[in-house]
Amino acid sequence: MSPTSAASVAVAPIGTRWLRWAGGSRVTVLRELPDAPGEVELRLSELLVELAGLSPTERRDVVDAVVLGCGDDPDASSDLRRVRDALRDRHPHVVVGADGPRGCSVEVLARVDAHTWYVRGWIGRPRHELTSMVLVSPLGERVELGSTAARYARSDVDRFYGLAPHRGADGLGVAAVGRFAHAAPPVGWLLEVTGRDGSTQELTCPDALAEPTEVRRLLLGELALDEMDDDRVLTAVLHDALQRTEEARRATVELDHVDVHGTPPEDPDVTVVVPLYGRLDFLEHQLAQFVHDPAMAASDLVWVLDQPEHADAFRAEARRLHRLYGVPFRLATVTANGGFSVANNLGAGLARGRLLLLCNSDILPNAPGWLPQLVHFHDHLPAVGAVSPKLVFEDGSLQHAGMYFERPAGEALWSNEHYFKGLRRDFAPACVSRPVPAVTAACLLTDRRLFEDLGGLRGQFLQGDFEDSDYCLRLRTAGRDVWYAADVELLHLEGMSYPNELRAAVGRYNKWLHTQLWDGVISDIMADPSVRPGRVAAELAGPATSDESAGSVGVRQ
Amino acid sequence: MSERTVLSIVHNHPGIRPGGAEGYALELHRAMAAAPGWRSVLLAKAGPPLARSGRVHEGTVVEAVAGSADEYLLFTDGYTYDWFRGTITDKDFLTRHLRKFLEAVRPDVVHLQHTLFVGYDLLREIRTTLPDAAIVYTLHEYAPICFRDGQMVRTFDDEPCTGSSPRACHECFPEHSPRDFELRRRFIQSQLSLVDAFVAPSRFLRQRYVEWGIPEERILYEDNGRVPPVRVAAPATRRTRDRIAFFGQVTRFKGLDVLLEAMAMLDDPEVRDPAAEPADATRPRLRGEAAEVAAIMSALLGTDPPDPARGGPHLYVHGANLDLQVGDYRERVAGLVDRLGDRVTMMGSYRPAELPDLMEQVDWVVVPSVWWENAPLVIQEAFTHGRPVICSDIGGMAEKVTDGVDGLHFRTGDARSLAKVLSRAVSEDGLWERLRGGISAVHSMQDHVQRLTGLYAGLLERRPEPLGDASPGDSSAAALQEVTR
Repeated sequence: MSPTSAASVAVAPIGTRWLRWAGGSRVTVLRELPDAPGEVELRLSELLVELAGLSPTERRDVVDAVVLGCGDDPDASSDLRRVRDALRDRHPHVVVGADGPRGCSVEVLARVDAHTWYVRGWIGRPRHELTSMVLVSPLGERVELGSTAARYARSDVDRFYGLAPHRGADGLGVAAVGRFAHAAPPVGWLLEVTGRDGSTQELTCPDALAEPTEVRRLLLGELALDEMDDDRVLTAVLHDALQRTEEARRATVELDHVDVHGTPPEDPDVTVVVPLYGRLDFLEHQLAQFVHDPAMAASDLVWVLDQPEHADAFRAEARRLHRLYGVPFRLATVTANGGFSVANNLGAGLARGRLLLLCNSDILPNAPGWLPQLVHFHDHLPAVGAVSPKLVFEDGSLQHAGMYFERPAGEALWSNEHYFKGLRRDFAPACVSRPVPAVTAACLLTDRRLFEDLGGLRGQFLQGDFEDSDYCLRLRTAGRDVWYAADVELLHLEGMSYPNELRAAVGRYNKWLHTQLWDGVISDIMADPSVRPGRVAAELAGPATSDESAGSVGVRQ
Repeated sequence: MSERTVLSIVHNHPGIRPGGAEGYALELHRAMAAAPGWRSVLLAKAGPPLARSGRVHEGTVVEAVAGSADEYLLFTDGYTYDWFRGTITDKDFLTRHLRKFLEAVRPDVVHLQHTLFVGYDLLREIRTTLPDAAIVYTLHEYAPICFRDGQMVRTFDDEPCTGSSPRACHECFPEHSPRDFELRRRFIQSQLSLVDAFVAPSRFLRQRYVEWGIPEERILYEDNGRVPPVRVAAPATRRTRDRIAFFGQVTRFKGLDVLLEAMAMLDDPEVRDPAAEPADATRPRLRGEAAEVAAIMSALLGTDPPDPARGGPHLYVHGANLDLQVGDYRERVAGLVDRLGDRVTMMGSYRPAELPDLMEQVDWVVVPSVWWENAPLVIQEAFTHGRPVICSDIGGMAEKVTDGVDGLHFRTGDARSLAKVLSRAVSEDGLWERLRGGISAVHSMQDHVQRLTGLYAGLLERRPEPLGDASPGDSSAAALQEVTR
């Protein structure tokens, strides 16, 4: 078969390029119109009429070649979709009805990044009854999801078709992440499902969510779907998607303004980095306390406002507060909300001190001099990685006296626990400085170079969680010790997180991720009975002993 | 020695609205101005919410009080006051506007009578702008400790509160978290730590602040001084001592309802002391025209005007602002007044100058407050005019009135207990005279000024260099000890 009766080769414009057809599936995409005699110039629609007469295999090869040739041309996307729709195999469209054959549905499609799409829905047949599940982009690019798709229980679908419950990996729910070579628009996606019997059905996907914050919100919400399932099959799929969105999101966050108030010290020993989010009035509260302590004025104080929407008003507020309190400090604002790790890392990037104190905005000192005391303690410890002080609640009960890990019998995931939380501040075992598995980042002193070498806080955790233990575990892996400093005490007004579905799911995701990253190391640490809280309490029940070798504080090596 | 300046700052000018602390502050300012070697400047908060009109001049937040020397009004109109923490949210008010006033007046001493409406961080502004000034702060109630208008009375049952804590305060105000109460305390104490010396008009209040966290050595006990009245009320010549008075604002904390209830119980046989029936209990009541005639007669003869409803104890309520109270309390008081009928006369508000006349009409002054009080001015007024005081047995009241010496105590909030005490007071022969004889001289403004100027001078002397933020302790403590001796 020849392209036309008069010539052997036809060309047609596609996007900003040219499609050249030399018969059969011999298709090429050219950037310039070839100045070749005998080539017939057609409109794309005319050429597609010709191509539609090809065999199914030839047509698929043509589509693949066209996508390969101009999938990267943003102006070609509507033409590509026309090519796809003119040349693709059409399959029966899925009809969902309780009496008919079992159907399927795509409930959610979201653009994770330009090349990655998250799809989730259900298919009325279990995994073993299917041979293929292909997501087709509007450009005609096809990605097989079958091997990577996660299945999860959908009792509603089971009930709809009157089936016995399908559980776990046999579940009728399906979620997958597809990677595509070419960026595609959010509208016009198809899913083709082929069963063991060889029959294929197709369905049109809903328009994809594409706006990054909406996609993020969607993916966080999706975590809750996994709550009923011990195997957490969705988490692995969502993890892939979430890490991509988070990485992309973090990459867009930069410092915006850095306002200098007063004259910060020339050669500070410590840089204090305080992220601000939500309770912006904490700046005033901290200034009202720091103003009494000459050591704070001698330090490099950096607050990082992690809410760009409040930046203008708050920068002015900071100026006014500086005029009242006179404490020199810097206020950094960011181009987008970055979260706990990003705000701390950006603040640390401004640091000029030898040491870095990560400090939450709800930390208030009890008395002047605590920072030099903490520095003194830090500097007298060999191979120290991080030091955190005793933190107490407003009622005098312990908030932090070091952290350990706990995995209740039969559970899969490790959680972070605080030693002796809620007990009185003078509880004897909490009055002894000692190395601990991890410490809180609510008030954490570390060497700035070390912090930088380790890449700062890891941003993979969602909504601020586990960054501190993760950092401590990386320190330990690098051969450093993590210490609890019992003789320095500050107030930590740790806020109660009001439980909601999303927060709970996000928390468990973080726990899952933390366990994925550190299961082996944590298991080794906690295999040592001497770090378990019961043992620590028993051993340190007496009055604290003093050991001058570690800086005039009670220390247990 | 050149003249030194003391700047007094108060939350209201009594010319705008009368009030105990502000009245005292104005009297003190005027007395201080007369003290040799001292110039006194008064800065009184004006404008809404206490006054109807606000600031009228552009470009300044102060305005001289017409016709008076060294008195200024301070306007905070247009600024948002954070009631919870006690601070104006826009710090420009302090660092740009008030600063100009401080720099112009350059006081040697700043004496704060109150920081309400201006904020506790006014202290930070004073310390920043006037590093050499001595800062003195008179504690008039428990506002820094207690968010409930400084009353230390629990919101949910109106029981007196014995001490604040984030948990206890959250119990009173569930909408504010314990951490917010801790932040509040920390914020306020951060500012109060800049004060060189506190003045506590009662030992009770002083102890409360010590328990709250102010170092004991920095609080001087010094009662408010009083300017002697133009005329002291004459001791009554009546045979009976059954005229009872209440002076003050009618707020729920002042316990007028307890007093009204007690009055209603006076006929209750359980309450009355059968051994001491009033001598004239059987005297026939005069009504209508007869009463008027009797009144005219007694006025002509210069004797006792009988009550319109002679026949037992009578209560005169000299109080204002009942209308400002919330509905249920207002209705409760109104209901009790109705029930008492002609045993109670609602006299309304009064001017200080009327006090001698009003005191002459009564025998006993009752202070039935259900909060702790500090150093109630009404007790000083009663004593000035030789009237024994019947008061609640807690806090500043119990401290200022000695049971059985210059007055009588009853169980706080307990109408029956008060009724018993009233019954005894109006019936026991010689009791009134004995208690009247037990009243000591009221602390005079002259002595008060002397003590305060002594404190100021001591603070300034012991101040070789500007006081640091962290350790306002030693020098001011020494000055206080000097004064206390």
